[in-house]
Amino acid sequence: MEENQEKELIHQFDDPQTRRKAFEVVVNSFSEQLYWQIRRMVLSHEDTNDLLQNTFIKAWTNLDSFRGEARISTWLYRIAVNECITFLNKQKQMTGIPLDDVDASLLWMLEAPEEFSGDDLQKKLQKAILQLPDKQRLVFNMKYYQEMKYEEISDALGTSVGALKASYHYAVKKIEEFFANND
Amino acid sequence: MEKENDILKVAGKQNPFKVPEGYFESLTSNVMKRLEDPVERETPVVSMWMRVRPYVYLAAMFIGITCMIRVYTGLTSGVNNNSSVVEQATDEYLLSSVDTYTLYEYLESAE
Repeated sequence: MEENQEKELIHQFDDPQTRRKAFEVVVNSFSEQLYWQIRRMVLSHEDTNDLLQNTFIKAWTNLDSFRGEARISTWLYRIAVNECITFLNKQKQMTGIPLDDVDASLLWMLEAPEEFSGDDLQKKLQKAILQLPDKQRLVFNMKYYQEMKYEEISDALGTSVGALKASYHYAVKKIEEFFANND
Repeated sequence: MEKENDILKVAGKQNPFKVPEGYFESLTSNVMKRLEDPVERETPVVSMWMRVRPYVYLAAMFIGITCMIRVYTGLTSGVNNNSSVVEQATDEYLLSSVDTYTLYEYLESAE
């Protein structure tokens, strides 16, 4: 979405007459990319749908506090990331897995035909990505799949560009090792 | 990045996850249905009694306080009367033990 269009939408948020229509444009523009961001983290479509809707509900509820200090996409990404991380931590707490541990609990999702349609190679890559800690997985997905710039990822996650580059580099290295060890 | 190229060569960026048919087409409308509009507060209709009620309560309060003050002052003046009765009774008691002659001498010396 272009910057001018975003500014116009933010302006429309202030007017009760136009706010709902403006938000609908936002939902229409960003829902699919947010969906994939969440889906690659939680793997389940149903969970993704819930988290995505929660993201927009939270954005709508807090619309008054959004003053355009960040781009709409950045703002939505931040909410979506928080929803994902909170959800994954809750899942780990319920199953007794340490919070820093890998999302091995999600591995079974790769075997579910209603969720996953990739070939063996795709499955192997997804398993490799699941070995990464949640935040590192997030960075990898945003950089590799969504091809976001480091500056955009930095805005969304509140992490420095340098730290992101190091994190991505380390993620790639771990994925390479996984492939090497699981031939 | 060389390592990223290795991954790309191996697996690429294909999307292996399934999405129910028509999901994205109905997503926006499904999200919008869940968004509540801020509740518009209706201006409440204020009856005459509601407008007058605070003043009535104030008036009742002042009347009540006034009554309490009158009751209290009435009681305190009653207490003063009682003390004069006690004093009189004490005098009578003391005087009852004094004979008439002694009393007459006293009264003559007091003049």
